[in-house]
Amino acid sequence: MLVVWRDPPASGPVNMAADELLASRGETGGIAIRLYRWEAPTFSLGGFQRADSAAWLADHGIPLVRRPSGGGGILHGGDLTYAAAVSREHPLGRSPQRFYDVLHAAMVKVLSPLGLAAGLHGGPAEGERPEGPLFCFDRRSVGDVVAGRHKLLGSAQRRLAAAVLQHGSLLLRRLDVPAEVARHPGLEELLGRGIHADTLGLQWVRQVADDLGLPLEVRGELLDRQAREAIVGRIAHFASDRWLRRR
Amino acid sequence: MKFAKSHEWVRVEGDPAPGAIATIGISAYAVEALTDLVFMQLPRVGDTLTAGESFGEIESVKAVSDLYAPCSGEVVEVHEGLPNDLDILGRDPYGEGWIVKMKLADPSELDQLMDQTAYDAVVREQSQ
Repeated sequence: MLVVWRDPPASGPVNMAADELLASRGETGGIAIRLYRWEAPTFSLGGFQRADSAAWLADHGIPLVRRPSGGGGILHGGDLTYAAAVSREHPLGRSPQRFYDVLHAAMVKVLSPLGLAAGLHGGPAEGERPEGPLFCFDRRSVGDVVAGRHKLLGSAQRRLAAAVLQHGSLLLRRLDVPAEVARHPGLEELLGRGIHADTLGLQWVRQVADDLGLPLEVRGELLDRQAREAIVGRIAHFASDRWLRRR
Repeated sequence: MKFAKSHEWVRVEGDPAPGAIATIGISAYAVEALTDLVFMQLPRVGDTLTAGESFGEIESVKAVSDLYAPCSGEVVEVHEGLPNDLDILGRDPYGEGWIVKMKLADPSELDQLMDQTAYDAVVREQSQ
């Protein structure tokens, strides 16, 4: 079964702790996806990116959070963010690259009917080092979802002993922040019209379920009161300087 | 040499008694599955490793993976040059690509690990 959770906007540390919770629940088998948003524009650093490389974003009032997953930094707020978790016992958990490919291929199928020539980047990886370009969308990896020269969806994983956690960001629109921060056009700029994030997100998870032949169960909030109480310590962890400035 | 399900290997010098030096690395299959490696975070000399718990992290293109200790003990040496030349892991994962050396705390933990034949079977299964 593919279980989908939809949470209201939250802070960076809350979102990271919730994704960790999603991965821990994934240990029981199956696939789970969490679709979510951010209560304010937030910049997430990849697992080993240098915190000082993004310190200048504070001058623009943009808080930082560090993801447990790899990859480059992402400005959230104008994007559709997801976390997907699969048990290591699941065939896709034993083949994490395939998990990545399945989720991206489904997005290409959803984006193409919108009138975009969307596809998967097939060229060599560029800038994929922690010291590479700060922004994920300045980088290219095999399997990124692109439309022409524009990267639309980038994802990165945290491979744990019992589960694989994958983070991804679909760029929907350019935020109203300085151009050096909101560097890339989103779907709305490329299409010249508005996009409803929730609708697009649901189309995508339906496509994933179809492609995998799995029944789909769309649930409400992962972070109900009980779950939020259970992850208070982890929220503090992701909010701590020790985690944010680990590198 | 013995292997953990999480693809780390351990080799003990001499008799596997408490205090014996065990060398730890990751298997050729793990290196290949991780693909392009870009960063590695290692423990420090003096750190205590616990079997089954993370002792470091390795970043490849698009993924961060934990390294899990195959057995418990105190780190006595760390391959300091490795993060600066991660290609060593691909060239010689069982030799020059060693990651840490540790003083074995409980040799009986080695009994929980796989020998080469059993590990090869796991790899075959995961490769399908």
